[in-house]
Amino acid sequence: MINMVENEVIQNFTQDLITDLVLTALEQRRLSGLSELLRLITKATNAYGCILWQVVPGLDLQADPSNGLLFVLDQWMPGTHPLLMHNLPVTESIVGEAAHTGRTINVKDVPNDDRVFKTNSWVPNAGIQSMCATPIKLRGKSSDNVIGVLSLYRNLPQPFEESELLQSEQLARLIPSLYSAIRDRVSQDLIRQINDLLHQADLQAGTVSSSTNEMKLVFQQVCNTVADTFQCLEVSIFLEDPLEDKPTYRLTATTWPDFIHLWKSTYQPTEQDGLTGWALKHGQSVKIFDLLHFERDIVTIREQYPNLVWKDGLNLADALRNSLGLEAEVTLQPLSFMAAPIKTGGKILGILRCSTAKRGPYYFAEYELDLLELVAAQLSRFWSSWLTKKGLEEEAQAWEITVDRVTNLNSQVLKELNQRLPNEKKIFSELLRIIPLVIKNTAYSGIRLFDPSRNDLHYEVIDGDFLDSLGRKERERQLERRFPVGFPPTSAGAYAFQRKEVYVIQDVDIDPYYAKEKLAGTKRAIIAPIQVGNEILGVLDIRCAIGSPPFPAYAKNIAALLSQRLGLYHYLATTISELRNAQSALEKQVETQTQTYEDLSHQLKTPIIQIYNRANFLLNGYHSPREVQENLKTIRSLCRKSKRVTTSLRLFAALARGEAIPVITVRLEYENLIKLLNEAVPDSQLMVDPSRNIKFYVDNNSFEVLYKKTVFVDIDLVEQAINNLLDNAGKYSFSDSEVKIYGGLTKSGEFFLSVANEGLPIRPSETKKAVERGWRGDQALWSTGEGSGIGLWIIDNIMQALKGRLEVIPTTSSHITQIRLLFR
Amino acid sequence: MKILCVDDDHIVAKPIIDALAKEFPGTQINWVGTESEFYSKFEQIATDHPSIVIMDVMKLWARASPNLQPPPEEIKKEGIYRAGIRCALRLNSDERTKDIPIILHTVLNQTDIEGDMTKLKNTHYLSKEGEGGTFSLIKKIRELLSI
Repeated sequence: MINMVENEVIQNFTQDLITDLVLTALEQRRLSGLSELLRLITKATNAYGCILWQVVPGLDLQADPSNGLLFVLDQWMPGTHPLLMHNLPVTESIVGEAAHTGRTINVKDVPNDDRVFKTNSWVPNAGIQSMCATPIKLRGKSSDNVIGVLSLYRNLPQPFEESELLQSEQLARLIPSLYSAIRDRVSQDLIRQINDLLHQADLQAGTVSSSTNEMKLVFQQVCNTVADTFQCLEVSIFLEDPLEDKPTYRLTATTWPDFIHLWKSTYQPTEQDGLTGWALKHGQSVKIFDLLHFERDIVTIREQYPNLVWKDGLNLADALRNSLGLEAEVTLQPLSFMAAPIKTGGKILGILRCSTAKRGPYYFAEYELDLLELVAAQLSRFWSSWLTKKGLEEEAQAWEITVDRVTNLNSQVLKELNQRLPNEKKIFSELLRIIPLVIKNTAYSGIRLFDPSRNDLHYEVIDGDFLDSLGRKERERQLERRFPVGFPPTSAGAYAFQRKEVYVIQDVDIDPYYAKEKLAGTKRAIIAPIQVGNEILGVLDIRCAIGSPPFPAYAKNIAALLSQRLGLYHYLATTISELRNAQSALEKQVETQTQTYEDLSHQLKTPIIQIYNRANFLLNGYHSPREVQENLKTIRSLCRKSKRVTTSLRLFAALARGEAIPVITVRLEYENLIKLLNEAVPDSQLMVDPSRNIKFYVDNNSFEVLYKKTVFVDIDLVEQAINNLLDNAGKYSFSDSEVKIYGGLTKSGEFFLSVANEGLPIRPSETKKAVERGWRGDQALWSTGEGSGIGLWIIDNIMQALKGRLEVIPTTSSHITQIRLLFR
Repeated sequence: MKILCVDDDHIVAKPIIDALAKEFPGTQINWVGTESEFYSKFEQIATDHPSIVIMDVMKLWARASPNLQPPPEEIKKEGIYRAGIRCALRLNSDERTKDIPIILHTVLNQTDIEGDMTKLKNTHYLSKEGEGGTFSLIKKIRELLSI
């Protein structure tokens, strides 16, 4: 930049002045360092003071000088000389004329020259005698490109000589380069300072988990540093509030706390929310030359910032006068404003805002905005990194709590699973209580299980203070809801269930599947499938209330883990229940088998003892032929009973092992059957106490159908079936009754053998149960001293083996019960 | 002399009654078939005061009949397997019958009813499968009644 200084300028000044100017420029740490340069120029030109004017940006002085305006960029005067005006019209002043004509104007007699603006009280007060105004042009450009004016004021009797005017013009050409040098130096210094600040904060954040308040201090330091560099009253940082439902940017730090209360402390990213709102909505920087002339410049401003809306509702001018202690007649400097978004990628994290310079230069140029954007970029890197770190810390903490709670839950689940009948609802409720602790902003959670019989989901348990606040009825209504799992899905639960993936709904009002789950007051939802392997058992349902911030990103993974846990618990509870039931059934089966074997053993032991005793009786002493005959008949009957019990034992053992009953079929001849019945019936008759007067009667003629009908049977199995039936009939018949055995053909041509008796009833509702193993009617249980209720069960199995069937015809109103064997 | 035989199986009871009648002529021998019949006839039994009771252990509550009454809950719970023990306890617990000797005549092994036997007084175990059959029973009656 300095090498841009032209040789001819150097020739007209001493080497010392140039050196002083350059060194002074390079020493500056603030933009207001420009006034120091003006002091050196004042001194070198033997002037009283000096003002550097700038043409209002965007104005075409040549086209319409009447509208042209100049404002004070900076000034140097000895002592305190507040300017009464900052804006000068081009057409009504010496300075304006210099700007308009592009020529240096020399005024040798200020007190008597009408062109000099006399209302500036400092001019007569300082005894100004002469002045000169030199236009500042962009290097190499024509006079049309006047960007400002350097005006020198002298209180000496000698006016500016021609040579001094030439020196002034040469200095004016030097000023842009020197100012540029100051800006570069200031920029580097600011970036370095901010970098140091943030680096330091980063280091601290790396060692200790820094709180949000500590971060606020860092941002305050950044604001202070920027304010010091730009010499402005207000530098503020607004950052997005993560706890808000809608994007909301809240004041985090400011250099003007006394005044900021007049401004808004929160902004939404909308065009209606002023300059800051516009910048947040568009993610673009905003720079306004002078807020006090916003309405005047509105057309130009909106060309650059479409739809920008701003109103000076706070009366900034008065606020600024009060703050700076300026009198009412003093014209205010331009109230420049600039704001740069703090953003990373497409995400707007916040905004850095800067306004109201308290010293020159008063105007924020593009250069200053670029610098502010650089600072905003630094903040963005720092803040996004901190947020990421904070997010990771939060996530790590959430996972830590999750692991801890799930570990505790595992112990509780284990305890519950050790119960004879694990209470799954209790396990589910315990898990739901974990969710608000590990997934922030959870207002309500529930578990919906799949009901295969109805092909829908229904709430098994629900939890959450939010639901309690809705009242008992809403809670009950929620529990009664059903969610069909058809296709296409009609609820978010069904959608997640079918996709077998966690479904996150950021806004339930616009979700295409959510309608069915609608619950007043909820805004967001996470629905995670509960599954074991490929089997889906239901869904875990987590909701967030309206007004709550969104679920953190990690919530999805935690929900997935918890739903997997649920699946596992459900699987374990179900499996253990099934195992216990199976074990219980097995134990019962073993007990029944043992009991059956004991019963059969007893049934066998009694006749054997009797056979033994009766044989002994016959062998000892003399007995009449009738006595011998009777005892032998009893022995035969007891033998038949023993044979029947032995066969039952064999068949029971085979059936208990799940084996089929072996069958050897022969044709059932009439004669064979009658012979069998004629042996079986008297033996059964003998087993019945004669005092009960129960008569067995065989209708031989009814079996003559066997001459016409061919029936194949296993004769031993038929004998066993008949013996069992006769034994039952003997036990369950009433005294003084008849047991009738008869046969015939059914309407469909099946051969049947029926045993009908008058005795204890079998109700219609019991006919199916009657053939189950171990069944005995209530009354039968107390009227038989032996037997384990396997008689009909064995007969049923025999008939199945013979491809026939057993039919139990329930007791009629005349107490007749009929058991029928049907043969193919 | 009076002998009471409590057994639900007539195949067992009849030869016993025949043998006792032959062995102890003039003796009054009564037969009760079921547990419910025993309770219903208890007053008569107490009044008659048999010299000895031959008691089967496992026996049914009642014969099949149109008016079959269910047993009390405690009997339902215990089942038929200890019916004879219950009847013996009833004899033991009544002042009029407590001194009547009881022979538990059963197919059960002695070890099966060892626990129950400790609750009973004047009660003696005799297996139905003894070598002598009814001879053992007669011998036991003679021994207990000293005849």
